[in-house]
Amino acid sequence: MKSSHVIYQLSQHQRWRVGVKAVRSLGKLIILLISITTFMFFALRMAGDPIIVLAGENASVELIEEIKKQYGFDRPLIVQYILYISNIFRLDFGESLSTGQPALSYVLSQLPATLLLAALGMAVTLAISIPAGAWLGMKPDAWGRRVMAGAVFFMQGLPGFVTALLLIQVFVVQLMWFPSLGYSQVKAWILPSISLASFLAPKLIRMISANVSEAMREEYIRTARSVGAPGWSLLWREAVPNAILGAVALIGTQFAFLFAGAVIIEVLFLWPGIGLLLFRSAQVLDFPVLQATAFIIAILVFSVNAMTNMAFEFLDPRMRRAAP
Amino acid sequence: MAALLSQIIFLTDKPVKMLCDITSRTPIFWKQGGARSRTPRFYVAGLMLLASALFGATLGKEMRTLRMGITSLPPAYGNPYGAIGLPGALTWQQIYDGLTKLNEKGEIVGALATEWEMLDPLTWRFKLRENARYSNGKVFDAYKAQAVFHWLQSDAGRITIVGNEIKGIDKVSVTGPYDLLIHTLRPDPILPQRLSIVMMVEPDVWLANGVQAYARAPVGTGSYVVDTWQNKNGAAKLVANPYSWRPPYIQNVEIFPLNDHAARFQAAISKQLHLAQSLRPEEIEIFQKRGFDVRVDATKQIIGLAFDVEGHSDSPIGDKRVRQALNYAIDKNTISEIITYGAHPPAGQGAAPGVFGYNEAVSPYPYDPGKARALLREAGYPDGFSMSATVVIGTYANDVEIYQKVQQDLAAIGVAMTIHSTVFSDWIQQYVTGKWRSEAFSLAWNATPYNDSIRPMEYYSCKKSRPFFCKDSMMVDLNNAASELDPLKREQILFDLQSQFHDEAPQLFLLEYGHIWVSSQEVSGFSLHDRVPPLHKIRFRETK
Repeated sequence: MKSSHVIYQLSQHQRWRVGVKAVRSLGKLIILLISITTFMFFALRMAGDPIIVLAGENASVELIEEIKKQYGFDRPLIVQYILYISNIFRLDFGESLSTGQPALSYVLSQLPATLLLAALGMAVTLAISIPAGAWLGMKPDAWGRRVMAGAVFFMQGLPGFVTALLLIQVFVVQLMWFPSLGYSQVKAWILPSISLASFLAPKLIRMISANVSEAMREEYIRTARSVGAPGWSLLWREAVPNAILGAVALIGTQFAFLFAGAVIIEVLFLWPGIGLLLFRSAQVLDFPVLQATAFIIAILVFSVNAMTNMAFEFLDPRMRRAAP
Repeated sequence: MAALLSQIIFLTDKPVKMLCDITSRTPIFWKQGGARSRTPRFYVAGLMLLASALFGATLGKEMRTLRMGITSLPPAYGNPYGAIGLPGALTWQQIYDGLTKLNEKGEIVGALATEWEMLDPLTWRFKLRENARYSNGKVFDAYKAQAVFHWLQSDAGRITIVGNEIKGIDKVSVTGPYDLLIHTLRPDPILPQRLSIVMMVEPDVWLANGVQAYARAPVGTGSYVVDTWQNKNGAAKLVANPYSWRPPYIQNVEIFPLNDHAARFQAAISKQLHLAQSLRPEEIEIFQKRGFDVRVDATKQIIGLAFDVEGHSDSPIGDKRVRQALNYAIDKNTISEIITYGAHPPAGQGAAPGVFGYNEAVSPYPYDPGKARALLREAGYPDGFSMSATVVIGTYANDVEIYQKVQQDLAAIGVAMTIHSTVFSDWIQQYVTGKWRSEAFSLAWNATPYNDSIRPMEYYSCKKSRPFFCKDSMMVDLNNAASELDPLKREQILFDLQSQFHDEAPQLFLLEYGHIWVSSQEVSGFSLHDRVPPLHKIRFRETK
């Protein structure tokens, strides 16, 4: 008996194409990672000497030289680079110069908090953007909606950290409704996710609104309306799904942005994710941790982009047909 | 609750249906359904879930934990030998003890040592506390202390900052379970102060686990033990050390590293923190109105712009008269009263009141632009000159405004100063290598951790490796101050040195600066000992 849950039967040709695509993606990822780690290696060394920063202002030059020797920073740069790259192939980024923890596991230990924040930020963004975009796009020329569209346009120009500081001032300092430190309480999730959404949602609202507006002018909608289909049904069952489909690429980009772009939000809310770790490691030039963080962020961004492409193809058969 | 759950399940049947749609491989958004859309129910369900989560969260009774907000945790966690002073000391002094410590007035008092005496200029005897135990239950005694000093004198230990600070110690011997003899290579009048930075780690665990593993799980004799360096609140969590000789009133502490000032201020004013460090002068009134106890740290440093005389000897600042002129040109009273709201008074020497060697007879340079112009004329710069200063913005409260006022006052006498803002990692490279790109740079006279003016003076002298200011004529007095054992004679030497430094003006002296702390009404017993609040003395006030 054939199961009703068999998703899709791939032909041999399609399987071959998927395989080629996977290999190509893996190749791209490897090139990306080598480029990023190489760039980070040289850029960080141009930024300064971590040993001097770690040793502090009381250290003598002789003392610093001894510590450099201990950490292998006295070797020629090219030797350091070859060692570094060969270690990376074993996923060994060395140990944090500050804490001595293996850098990669240190970064990975912070990852769940960042993933949680990214998921919350995205969830709030979608929860706001879809209804707001639909509402605005349904009748874009209505007076009230034009005012709202103006507000959305204004919000798009407001950096997330400004919103975060305003939200903290109102809801933490004045009203004392929410905490602003960490994420141990569910209450503490709200303001950081709204702060992120305040930055991401306006773009998405505008895109969904434009897509809905266009869809509502389509002939099949007008036909459906003429035969008595209710407006809300047309909007939510026809126009909005198509509008969201058109915004999938933007949603993917925004999700990828959240992995690296939430640094300030993590700092302001003391959210112990990789953004906060990145900020702190940069202050003390903790090379191994910075390099491992960049590596992980690159993988995350690449993965999200790849998943966005897959989602796009999955949702829109036209893309599948158009794919090379 | 059951009704609530059933309602949530009913309302959220849509996502389940959507999942089924996905598995049947039909593009979900294109599938036609019934006429009535349930989409708004999604939002209702989401809101209800959120509300129940929030409601649930508020139901839980929060354990009483002391919460302190500081600028940062020690980067090397619990390794107390990798740095001196703040921010590390804020955490280390809760989990470790030295043989000595500074009290609230900046005086040296006993910690793990109860008394000490100088037997001869090179030998000191320390009597140790008999009731001190480490957090692993082991007894602290003279043998443990000796082992700590031995490690600090080893190859691995002497390259640490603290190991380098005690390089004047020749050997440490034990004369009884609680009697320690410390032999120095040269007479060291501030040895007891010096020992306040040598935190007594548990040497057996230290050697067995290695420095970095020990740093992550430190064992000390202090009031608290580190439970975790980062919990879900982003804070380091400390719990009471059951064996401590100075047991705390409050069992749990969270230390929040809040580097961003706005985040620190907002967390403090919203009473998420009981104690907060490094707030701004203009915030004093706001906190006081809300019932907070506000303190300005008594162990102050002198902030200003140091001149790189050695590296820019051919520039105008190589001339003493020019350096004095720049000091006369600055309206420090206005800076103090307007920009720092009177919290940080003007300074004119390398120490603040309360620091050993502070000379009351030396007053700050008065604001006298006329005299400043006359000195510039005398030095051959009647039309002024151009110079630059490298500063790290954000080190001190309102430092941007302070530097802008300095720039403005110097412009009034014809000196065009360009400010180059940099980050600490760049600043310290220039400081350590002595290769300054500007004629001036931000540098404080910092008397901690010994509360003695000799230490900053040495940094403003030929004694500093790659010095920026080196006056041979002052070295005799500096060497005498470093070895004179008679406190009265030594104080007099330091007084003289303060006058000389004032006259030589190696810095554009600005203000006496102390960190501003606040403590909420919920707690009592807050005090500052060498910039660090001893948390074991703090207790919650009884609420009616």
